[in-house]
Amino acid sequence: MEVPRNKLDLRDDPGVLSPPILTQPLYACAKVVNVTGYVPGATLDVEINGAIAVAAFPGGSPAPAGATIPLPAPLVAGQHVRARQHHAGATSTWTAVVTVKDHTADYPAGPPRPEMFGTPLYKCGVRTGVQNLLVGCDVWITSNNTKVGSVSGANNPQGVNVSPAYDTGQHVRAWAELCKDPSPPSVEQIVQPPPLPLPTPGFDPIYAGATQVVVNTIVNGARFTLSRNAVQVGTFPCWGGKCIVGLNPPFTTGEVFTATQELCPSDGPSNPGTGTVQPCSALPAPQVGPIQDGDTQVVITQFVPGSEIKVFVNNVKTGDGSGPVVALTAPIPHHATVDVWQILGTCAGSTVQQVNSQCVNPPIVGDPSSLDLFPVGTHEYSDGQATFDGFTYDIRGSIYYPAEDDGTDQPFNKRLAALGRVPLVVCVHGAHSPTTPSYHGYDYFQQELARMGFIAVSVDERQTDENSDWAGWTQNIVRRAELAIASIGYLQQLDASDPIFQGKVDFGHTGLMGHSRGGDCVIAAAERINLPGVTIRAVLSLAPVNSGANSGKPHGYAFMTFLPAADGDVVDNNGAQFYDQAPPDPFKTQLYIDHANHNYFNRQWLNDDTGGGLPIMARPDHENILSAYGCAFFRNALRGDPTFGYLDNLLLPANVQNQNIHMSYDVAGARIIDNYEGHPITVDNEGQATAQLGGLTAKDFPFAQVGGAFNTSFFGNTTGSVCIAKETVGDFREPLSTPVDLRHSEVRVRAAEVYQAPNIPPNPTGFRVGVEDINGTIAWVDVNDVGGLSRPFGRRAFDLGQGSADKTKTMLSTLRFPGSCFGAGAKNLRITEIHAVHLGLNRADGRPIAFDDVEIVKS
Amino acid sequence: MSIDSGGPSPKPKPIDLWRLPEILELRVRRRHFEPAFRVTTEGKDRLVRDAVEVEIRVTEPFPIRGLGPVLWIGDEPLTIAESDGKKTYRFLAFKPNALRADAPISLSWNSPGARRTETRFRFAVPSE
Repeated sequence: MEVPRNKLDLRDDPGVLSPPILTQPLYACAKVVNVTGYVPGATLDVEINGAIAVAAFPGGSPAPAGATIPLPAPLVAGQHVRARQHHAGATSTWTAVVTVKDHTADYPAGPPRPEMFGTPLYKCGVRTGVQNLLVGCDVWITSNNTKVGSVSGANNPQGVNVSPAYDTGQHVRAWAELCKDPSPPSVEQIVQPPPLPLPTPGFDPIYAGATQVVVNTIVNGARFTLSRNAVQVGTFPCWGGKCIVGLNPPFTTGEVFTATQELCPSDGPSNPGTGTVQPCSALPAPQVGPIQDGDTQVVITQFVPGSEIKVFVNNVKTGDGSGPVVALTAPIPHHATVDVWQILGTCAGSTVQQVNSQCVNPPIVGDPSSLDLFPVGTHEYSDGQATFDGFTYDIRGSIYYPAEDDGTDQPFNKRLAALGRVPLVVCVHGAHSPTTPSYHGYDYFQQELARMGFIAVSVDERQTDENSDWAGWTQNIVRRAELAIASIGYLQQLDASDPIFQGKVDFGHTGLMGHSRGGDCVIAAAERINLPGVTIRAVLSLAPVNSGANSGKPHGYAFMTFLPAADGDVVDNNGAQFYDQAPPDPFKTQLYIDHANHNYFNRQWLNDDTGGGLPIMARPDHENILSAYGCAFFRNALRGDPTFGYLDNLLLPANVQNQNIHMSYDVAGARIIDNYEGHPITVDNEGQATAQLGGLTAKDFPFAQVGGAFNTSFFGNTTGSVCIAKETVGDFREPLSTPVDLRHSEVRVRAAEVYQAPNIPPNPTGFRVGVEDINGTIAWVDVNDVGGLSRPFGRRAFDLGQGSADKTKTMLSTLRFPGSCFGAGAKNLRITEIHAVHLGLNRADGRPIAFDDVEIVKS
Repeated sequence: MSIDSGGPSPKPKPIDLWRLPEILELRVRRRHFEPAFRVTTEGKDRLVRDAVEVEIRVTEPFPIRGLGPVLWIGDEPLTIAESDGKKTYRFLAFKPNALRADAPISLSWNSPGARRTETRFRFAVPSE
């Protein structure tokens, strides 16, 4: 919410200055460090092992990528580094100490491969961006194997000027090196003719008081010439897109900037674009990311580059720095009001962005699919046949793998292979036209897995899509499983003797991903596979059917399922049945995805299976969900990467429509207070007598498409409780057999707003969770303070139009209630001795709420 | 130079996943499998040698999709079928005693509450 600043009593203490952000990790041999988040114009100190190594470094503008600070000597592993800023007579505290590591601790197969941007490269281009670098490395660009540009001690990203300029047809690559350890080369780019005529440059909004101007619409590698009030101020090379230029004196309202751009002089410049300085009063408030209790920094998602950002917590200045991340001088307290204010040079914004911190509001951090370490080789296999039930199939598919270079049948990456065998992920498509190469539909996912060090196989099961086979339903899916197993068997042959794959595949860490019938099939495959040395450790079942081809109880591995809420084919979201029946072994995760259809996760399945009947996300949004969550899942389950936070809603991935995803998750070792299985509602799992208070009624129901269900909106395969409060405040009390200390634990509850056909009420409903100590003190946390109760995804009209029943669902999702939030809510609560949990219905709307899996989990 | 009028790229032809063909002919017979037919229930295989087969010839093939078709004999669903790959499907009943004589025969997709399309056919118990 944007609020006039003059309506607030913000105490702008000039002595409060945020510690800057020291870009991490730090690696030995780095010649620079990168510092961001400081106030524009601040000076920066860098301390190494207790001594000032760099004093009063002029930070200048923190835009676009902070200060790249040269060090007197390259970093050495084990050194302790920290930084601070000085501004306007104030000095910040030091950042936390960062210990310098050898890069091989994180990148044992060498530095990650550089990524060039913007691409394509054009003839006469003179600058290229390179990213995916280790800060402080050396980076260079070659054209036809000749070095044309370099930077020693690079930032990430890093612009590299090239000379001579590119020429059409040249083969260009970027390279990096740290500690004399070379990265693989970047993807090769072939220089293209210039895109003529060149577009007219534009300007991001310019405000009075600023000293930086952002020119946009710059062609990759072009130079642009900038004029201020018709007076030329210079010509600048740009990697493409946007480029920022610092100027003095500060801008005044009405000034006019002009820019043209040029690639080849013989082609001449573009038409000029103009930008006019707007008054200070037009400067907007910045936009901020999620803020939750205990945060020690605020992420600024939209701000004017080069602006100062001040953060006030309950009117007290707690941060002063710059975007995109401002460190705070104290953690965000419970239920804080946070005001974020933007100052641009001499222009102080007239409004601030005001948000309230929530108990749970996970930060958007990174993209688990973006790890890019190796070139990717591809190999199509077609060798041998297998016969099941009288059907004979060719064993075919595609393999993506980490390679020495990009391309078909490239040698396997030698440095990675020297470290040991590589985990395997096998993808299995579902039923579609047999003339469609469905197995190529996950190539984007295979590519991402391979570049981060997995072998990713997609099995060609088109022959099972032939009508004669497809009609077999359960038996068709069993045969699909057996064909997938046959492909794994074939991979074992490759591993035994193939020139590329010999000794490369770690079958002991195998993951399966299946879609539609393939999603049912991979659970069956995990139950049927009996190949020596193969251990299935992770199964991702995407929009599966449930035919009976497997036990219906995924077990023995980490399990994940995707349920597209707008699935126009597998309309029952049968994956919910698998999730409900899967033990957390060691964990399970379910994504119920609003506005997702069945087909768009597969690039070869072109039609929208809803036929336009439901509002769905764009295809790339579907793919981003599989990429982010699928990579997080397999990285953690097969390789132990620290990506589990994405699987239990502690972190949200960037580039994903997170607002559409409703997660359920469960981990082994949780203390189950009540899962409503195997006992009457009058007692809980710990054998304690429950109580229905305040007019609340609670009753067990099957959460499934069976008789005796509360209504027909439940599509899982479990039993749960439906609570209804007939009075204003109803309460279901669940005692514990022994007290629990919630200081480092949280209460987790699966819950859903029950859909009652035919209408979905316009306003959300909710509930609250209470914890009661041994003195009878109860502290409550409302569901809206931990993310809110998901709304049903309405699809009634669509389903009825298809001749189907209404498939709008009551789909439960997991909500986390950290112990710290209860502790903050009631001063007298003895958080160390909690002996009952309460589910409180306090909305006075009489609407039923479905509950399951009330647990205590260590935070 | 002449000017191309352009126009949007054609979108993929919508596929009606819920379309069901009409049954043109229907025959019921007993079926003996040699070798035995594999039937899987809750992930467990068993071998079956005898079944009742309901063969239908339809106006068009079922559209290939995730869900499968169901042939209903009264309220008994038959989900496992063979096909000639064209327009003939043979739905198999492995519990013949569950089939009631003169029960109406209908088609649907394999989803709870999916609309059943009634046909003009009724089930006749095949001779031994």
